[in-house]
Amino acid sequence: MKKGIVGVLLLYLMLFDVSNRAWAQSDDSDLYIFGFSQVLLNSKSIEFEIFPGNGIPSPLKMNSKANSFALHQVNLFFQKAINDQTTFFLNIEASGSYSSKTPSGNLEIPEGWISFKLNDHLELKTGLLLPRFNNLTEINNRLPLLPYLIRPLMYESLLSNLVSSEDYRPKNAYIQLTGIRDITTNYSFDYAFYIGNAEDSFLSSVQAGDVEDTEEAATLYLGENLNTALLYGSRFGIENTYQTFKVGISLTYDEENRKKPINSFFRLPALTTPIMGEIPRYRVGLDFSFSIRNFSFESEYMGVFHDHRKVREIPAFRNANLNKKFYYTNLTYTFENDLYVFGFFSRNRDQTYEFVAPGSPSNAGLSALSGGGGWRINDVTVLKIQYLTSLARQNNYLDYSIRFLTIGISTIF
Amino acid sequence: MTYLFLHIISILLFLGNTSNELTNSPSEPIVIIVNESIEIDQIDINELIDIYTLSKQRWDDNTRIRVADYKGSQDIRDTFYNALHTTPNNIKKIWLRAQFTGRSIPPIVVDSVDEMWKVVLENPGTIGYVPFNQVPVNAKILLQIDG
Repeated sequence: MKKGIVGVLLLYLMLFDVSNRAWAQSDDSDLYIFGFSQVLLNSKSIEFEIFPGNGIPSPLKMNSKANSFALHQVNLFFQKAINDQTTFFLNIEASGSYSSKTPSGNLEIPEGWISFKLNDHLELKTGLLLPRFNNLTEINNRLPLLPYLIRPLMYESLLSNLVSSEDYRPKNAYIQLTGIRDITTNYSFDYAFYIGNAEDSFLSSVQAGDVEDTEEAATLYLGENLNTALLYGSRFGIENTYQTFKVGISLTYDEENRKKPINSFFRLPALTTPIMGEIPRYRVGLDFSFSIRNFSFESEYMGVFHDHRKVREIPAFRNANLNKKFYYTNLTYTFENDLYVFGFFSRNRDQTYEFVAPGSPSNAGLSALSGGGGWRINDVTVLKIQYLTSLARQNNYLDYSIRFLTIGISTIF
Repeated sequence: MTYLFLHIISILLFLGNTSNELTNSPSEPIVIIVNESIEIDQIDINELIDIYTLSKQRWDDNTRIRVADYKGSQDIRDTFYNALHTTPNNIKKIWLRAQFTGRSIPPIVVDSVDEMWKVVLENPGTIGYVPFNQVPVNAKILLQIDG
């Protein structure tokens, strides 16, 4: 254990040294390489109880505790100005102490795009990119920009097995047009329009000799979008010069994949939705943030609405309702000496399972309450500590509570 | 477990106590200096705000603007950003967001006034600031801000 701590500290001492040099690159045509990492030590306590009558004769209880180090996330960015109007950007991300040998964690390229500056107010991006949806989607994996270690449920990759975040917000896009216009000396109006693939579950996972359905049999490559419908989205916002006031509304249209039985909440056998096909889906996002003196307030709402008309023509699905919502609010107070404290609350509710199992845990919702603080050790390093408790609201199926005590360091290099 | 957390915190507190301090009297004026290749002779405070918030990233001749700043918590930074009606931390948030989302290249960060002058002198398009009483002899000055 002691060797592990010493190793982590030595790694960070090396990163401190590298950071000073990395920021000194200066030529207009240089390839800029920079990034960040976040390492954490997490103490986890989970209590889980499934009530009897759901395929089990007596209550099933489980208590689990664990302490774990993790290289939470490392991102490496490459940026190069190809000419005055064109920029290339690449983001490589490893999370969860990635190792192909163990195996553990994930390695992915969440972004790889080229941007064309059409004029002073308009920019076109094409490639794999993070779309503008609310305030946090574009920066949710930029951990040094966030006061906390464990993000709100819809944004935290470590909790992705609890809820599919793509049910609530778009994950990526391939073409995005963004613009900005001054409306007063201190305020500007910004907008974005984007197009992308439908959700990841439509992407082909076909392997040679492992073809289960006709669509996958016709697949040309792994990851090919097997749906004709695409994602269309936009965001309209107003912010001030110093970004201490920001408000926006976001909208998307795509289709939800219900072509296979789905159980996205705690894998309870009784809570599986039947096959419904592709269901038109509208997401609405609202974000509002402001800073006054040493306080920073941030909040978001996501509402997911479906066009159920077609699916409700089937008698068995007459009461089907796949709508969902999520909201989150955070308050941070920064002291003069680079110390800060924060607290956030989030909640999501999903009505998807109600028509097959009234009183479902998803409809009751999952709430998270968190508090913590941080200290900016220097320009590139922040020490953070966080306590988080997450509870399943009262429902007919289970009781569930998670408690995390986490300490970690974000470093920019 | 609690002991382990406290142990790690104490080590990190020790490591963090290493920042450099560049002091500047709160009443000392600050001077905005630029690389001599830049074809303007003056700038107003609103343009300076646009530059340091990265809203303006090109000079009028289309040269890319390189913003230079001091490292750490130093009095001169507080004075400068106070004149721009903001704080070093807020500017840093704006820069990091711009950098990590590909909207801007990283700023040049320096330790001292001498290094600031060297960076401004050697890099076309670069803008920086120095205390009034340490302005280099050949510096191209765009603006003086009273402390």
